[in-house]
Amino acid sequence: MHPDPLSLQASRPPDGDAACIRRVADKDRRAFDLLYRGYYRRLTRFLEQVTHRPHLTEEVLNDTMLVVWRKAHTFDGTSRVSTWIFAIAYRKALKAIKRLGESSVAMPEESLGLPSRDPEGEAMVRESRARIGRALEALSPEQRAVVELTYYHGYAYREIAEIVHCPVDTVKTRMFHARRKLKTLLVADSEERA
Amino acid sequence: MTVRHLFRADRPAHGRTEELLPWYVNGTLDGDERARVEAHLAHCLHCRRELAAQRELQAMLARDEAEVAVGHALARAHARIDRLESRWRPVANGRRVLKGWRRASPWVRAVLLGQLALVLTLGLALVGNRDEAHLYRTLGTSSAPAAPAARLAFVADRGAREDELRAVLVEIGARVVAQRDDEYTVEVAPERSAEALRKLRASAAQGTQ
Repeated sequence: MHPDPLSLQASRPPDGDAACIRRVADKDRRAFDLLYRGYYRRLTRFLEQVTHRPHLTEEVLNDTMLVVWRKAHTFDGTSRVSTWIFAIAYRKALKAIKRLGESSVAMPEESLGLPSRDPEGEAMVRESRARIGRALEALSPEQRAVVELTYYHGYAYREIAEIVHCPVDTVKTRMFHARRKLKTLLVADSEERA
Repeated sequence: MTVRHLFRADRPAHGRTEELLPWYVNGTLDGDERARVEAHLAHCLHCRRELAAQRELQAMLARDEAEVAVGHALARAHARIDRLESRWRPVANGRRVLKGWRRASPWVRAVLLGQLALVLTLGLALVGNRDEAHLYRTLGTSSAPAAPAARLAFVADRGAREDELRAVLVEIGARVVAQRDDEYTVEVAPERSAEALRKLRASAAQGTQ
């Protein structure tokens, strides 16, 4: 089986990013800009999915990148740069959720849509996204992080264990429970709407 | 379809393989694990169905929003860095100097004070002797402000790796002034524009190979 294109995103050699981080450690703002632009989309997506609070995303992303700016000199190269940055983002996301308590602002359904030129297909896709969005809402932030890092960002389970700072078996268990919950919720949702 | 093929959860190997399916779907399993999953899939209908469901889930989750407001967000990040550094750096440096001063032996303090006195004397002498003509500059003066940066616009090749492109931009000292998807506008020092163009072209060529 060929790896899915999504997985290639995570399995690149880190040379370019490592060079960037070294410059950032020397307080090079241009290198910081490049790193920021390179990670903006991925981190936005990840933080949106983990926090499920779109209004928090930019603040948490900038909290993350500020840590990158201040702590770049501590990056020791034992992991990939992206794993290091995602680990910071994950901790910042959980901290923000904790700070705000459990009160959750549901992700607006329109933000789950996919642009399409086919109105009928677009409506179907939007409906599927909305269903998935509702199901993901029911997962814990820890479970959503594992689902998101696996299916969208294409990380291996060992790397996810590094990012979320827990044993690999915990990653597998979180994924197992997340999948079971998603399956149950998606079936219940389609029966309700049938 | 038989029950024997649908449910094999009584076998521990089934559970161990099933829990690896998400990473089989994203292509990150190592060779042995992948071979084990594929061997299991060949005779387990339950896992093949689970695999299909997971591929569907991955496709659903793979959406990405097109619009990116990176410019505004980055500007706010810089404003926060500015605030952070202007607020903390002098305080931190001041504390460090004070701590060092307290720890220094008397003769080190004496040497430092002597050096400070020398610097102040030289500084005052320089201020007293400076040429008034250097305090302002006319438009015709040859030492006019540095030439404006050269601006380059390019479209990154779809095959080009993002982190490699970033490394090239760092290498040529480019500053990104605008970006929309794969279109970049960057500024470089005028004397480095030829080198920058050459390196960007080489990078794009690598990407298409």
